[in-house]
Amino acid sequence: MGDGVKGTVTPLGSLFSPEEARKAAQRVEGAVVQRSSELRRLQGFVSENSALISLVRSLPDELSHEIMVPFGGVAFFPGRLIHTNEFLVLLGDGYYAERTAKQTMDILHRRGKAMEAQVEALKATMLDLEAEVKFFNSTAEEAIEGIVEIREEYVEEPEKNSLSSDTVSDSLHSCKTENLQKLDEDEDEEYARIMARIEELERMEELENGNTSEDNTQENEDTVVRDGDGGSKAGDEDEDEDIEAGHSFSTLDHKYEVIEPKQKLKDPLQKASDQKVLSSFISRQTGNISKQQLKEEAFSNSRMQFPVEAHSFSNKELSVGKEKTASSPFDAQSSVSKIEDSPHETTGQTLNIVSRGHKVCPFS
Amino acid sequence: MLSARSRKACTIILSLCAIGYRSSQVSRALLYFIADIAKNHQVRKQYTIQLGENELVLKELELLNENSNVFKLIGPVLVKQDLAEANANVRKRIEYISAELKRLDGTLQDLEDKQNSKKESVSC
Repeated sequence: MGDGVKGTVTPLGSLFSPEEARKAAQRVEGAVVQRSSELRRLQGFVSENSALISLVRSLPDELSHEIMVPFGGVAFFPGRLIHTNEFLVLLGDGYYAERTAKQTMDILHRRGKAMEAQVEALKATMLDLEAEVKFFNSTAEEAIEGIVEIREEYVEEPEKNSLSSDTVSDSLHSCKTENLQKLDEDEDEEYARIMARIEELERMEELENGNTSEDNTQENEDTVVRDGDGGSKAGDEDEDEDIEAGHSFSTLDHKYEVIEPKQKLKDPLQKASDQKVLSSFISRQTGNISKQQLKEEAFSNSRMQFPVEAHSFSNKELSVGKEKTASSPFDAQSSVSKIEDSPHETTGQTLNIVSRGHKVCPFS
Repeated sequence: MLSARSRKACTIILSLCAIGYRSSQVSRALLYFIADIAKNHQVRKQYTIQLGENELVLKELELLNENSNVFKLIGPVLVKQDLAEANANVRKRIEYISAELKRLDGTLQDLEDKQNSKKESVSC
């Protein structure tokens, strides 16, 4: 299976030693504890503030209050609290202002709001720190379990003519391949459905656009071909790939580029217009990866259209880089998902795979 | 409250100990840096708190009527102050604190750069 693919197996324990991970987790936990004590302090302030507000509200109810006045540190004497509506409020930093009860309550309200904002911010930072702690702990556990990180050079296997996914090599994916073979056909059908739908929409759009679409296709073909050259240089090994098909569509422009499958072009082409048929023939003959901006493209023939590579793109420029997926099972889901999500470019020369314990496929 | 930077400083110390670094002179210099950075952080925290407080005071002062009495606590004495004067004082204080914070930031940056260069010279 390995086919001379070089790889490195590094146990996660060596990269992140469990003790270090634990230490890091402890450090972060210390920070969490500090923050939580700070949080308690702030919450104390908030409660004190609300108690004060209720007191200030009740004081002006009477002209004067009979109270026990504190005298020195340990003595009290009976007295009266007068001027019940006048308060000297501390504004901060040694500044006091003389205010009425109502105004004092307003000040205290504002202060309470500011403190609650602080409390919220502190809670947010604490959540982040706790997430960090969890991450460190899980890393430590994984390292202890002996989970390994497997890195392999991604060697492009020469594609054979058979279109079954069995021929797709790459030992790492073989397990997943077997698992996903059953899903293949379903995915392919779904894919065909999606493409058929796109084709319908394209037709409708074309009816509306008319001539403009032609011009666009011309321009885009030029840009696309240029990109194709760049893209083909990026992946040298697959110059002679037999089957290349992938699709991408940009969400911005609702155009999509289709890489013609070299084989079995008859079916899709029958549905295409003449101009596009011609261009697709040309692309087939060149033997390179070509991309065409086609307004309508029947991207049917799901089974054989899933090559080893799909093409990724950047949304703004509609340039296409090459991305190799190791096996067809990935193509339907991954390429569709990649197109629908934010576009990205991968050079795809190496694949990093961190295998979780129960999914590690033994090399054979 | 350990900030990220001082935490980093501590990890540097720990890692140095971990690799069994012996040279006392250089490690002392590094420790000196770490202590400086920690002190810097402390002072910065103080200033930041004061800045926040003064900004609150300014907001409240702006909400006061023209004829309200403002007092300042100087030691045990409450001194009556003019509203305009109090406003001006608080604003000046805010500016001063901001300038101090910036200065401290610059110092901190210098310290960190020196520390990094020292660390590199040590590890080479």
